[in-house]
Amino acid sequence: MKLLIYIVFLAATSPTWEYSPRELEDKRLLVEGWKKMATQPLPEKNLDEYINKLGLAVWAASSSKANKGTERNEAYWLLRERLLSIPGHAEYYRDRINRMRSKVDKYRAEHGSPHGKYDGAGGGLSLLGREQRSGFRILENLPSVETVRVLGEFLSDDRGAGIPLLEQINTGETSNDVLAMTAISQLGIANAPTPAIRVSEDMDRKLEGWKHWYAEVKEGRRTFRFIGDPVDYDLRGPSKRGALEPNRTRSGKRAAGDDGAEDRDESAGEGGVSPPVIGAILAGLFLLAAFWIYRRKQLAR
Amino acid sequence: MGGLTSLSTPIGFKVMKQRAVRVAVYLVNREIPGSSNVYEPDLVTTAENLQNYLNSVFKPQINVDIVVNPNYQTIAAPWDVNGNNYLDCTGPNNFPGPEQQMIMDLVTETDPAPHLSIFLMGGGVLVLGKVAGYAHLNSSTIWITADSFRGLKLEDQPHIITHEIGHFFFDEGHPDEKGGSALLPGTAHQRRLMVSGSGAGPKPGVLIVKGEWDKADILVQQLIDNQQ
Repeated sequence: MKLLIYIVFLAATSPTWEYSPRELEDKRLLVEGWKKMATQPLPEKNLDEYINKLGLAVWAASSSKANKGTERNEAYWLLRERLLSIPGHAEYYRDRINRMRSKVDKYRAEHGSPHGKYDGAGGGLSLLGREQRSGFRILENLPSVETVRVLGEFLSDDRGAGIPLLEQINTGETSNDVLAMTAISQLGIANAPTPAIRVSEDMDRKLEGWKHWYAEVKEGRRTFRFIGDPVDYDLRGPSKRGALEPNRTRSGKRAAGDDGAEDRDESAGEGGVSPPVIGAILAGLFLLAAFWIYRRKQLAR
Repeated sequence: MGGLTSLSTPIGFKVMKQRAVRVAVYLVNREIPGSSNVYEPDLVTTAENLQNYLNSVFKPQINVDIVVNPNYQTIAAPWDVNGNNYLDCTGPNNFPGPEQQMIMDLVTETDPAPHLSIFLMGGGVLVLGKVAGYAHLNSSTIWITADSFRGLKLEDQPHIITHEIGHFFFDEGHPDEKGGSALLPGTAHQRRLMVSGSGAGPKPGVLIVKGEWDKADILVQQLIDNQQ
């Protein structure tokens, strides 16, 4: 009898593929907690701790970014706005990643091993991998001048590149440049060099495109906008000189609603013209040439 | 005690919250362009076997219930895009590569969505050309070599999958290779769940240690919270 009661108890408590009432309640409480966190007064002490919590919540809630009308989606926007309102929101993650990178580099220098494993407290390079993973995934949700500046600088940070994949698997280590590029491509920058990257393909070429773009921004030859925000920015904030774009005339000449990445035909591939468009142009030229030859023959008669 | 000084250390208790993690399994058939042959995975453990094994390891040690979707989905794709005869994966922090993405794009969504997706790869290939299993942390996916002629056995599969799931709970790395959440040098690494394939003993290790409990407390919760 006792055994039967135990089996019935186990059957009642073991989870099934469907959500249990307890899990649903946990989810509700989680979202409620996020909303409270996003709307509480800004703490006067331990701001870093608050940024850390907000960031993790933004990352978690970002899975509902596209699901408008849900409580979770609402919480995502509240959390994001709050984090964006805190100066230093991107530099906080930059510093965390750099601090861990320095520890790894120091360890390697001391041990004379370029790819040696850092076995600091907590074990393994995975500490760096962990900082990179959460840091860049959080930053990709924070469209701000500060984030562009932080990610733009990381685009040239290739420390740790070229480590064999099987080694990466044991350490979680990746170079910052590629991770920064995938993150900056998600920010929703209008006229971006690539659409949001979701697949690791042709990454060297894409990275060159982004580095070139950021170099122009840094040199003050290009400004940028975020999709849905009409303001043109340089790396200091709203651009006092209006929109700037190399090989293009000054602001105001750009067609209204030219939001770049938003309108970009992804099948065109990043930074290129799609094969159907090239085909149409070539066909047009061919017809024009044929018509011209035909007319010449007609006139020669 | 005799001439020795007695030693006292406090005993610590850690109460782990009960958590449920959902796992879906996909059977990946390999199509070869220009050939009518389709190569199916021939090592496929049942959902019941898998769930029982996973829960025998995780439930008593870190209080995580693993729920395996009993309905395995089958996916067929000519996924070997570069024709090198194995599945190319990217580093654990990177977005998936094109071969991984082609397969992931063919998954039919379920409600609730799984926290982790496991792909059993057919077609005579070793994942990455070298390994029995690979946890790709960025995409919450696990890639398993599922071919008998690679010397793998069906009875080993639940353990391989358990170890790979362990990477989501305790992080990358293996203690015998100076990686992972708890190095514990000088201890019997072969007893640990997270020992590497090359460091493993004759009997599969299943031990999860305190450093890993602590990591799991954060990472399992993160896995659950990050799901929609």
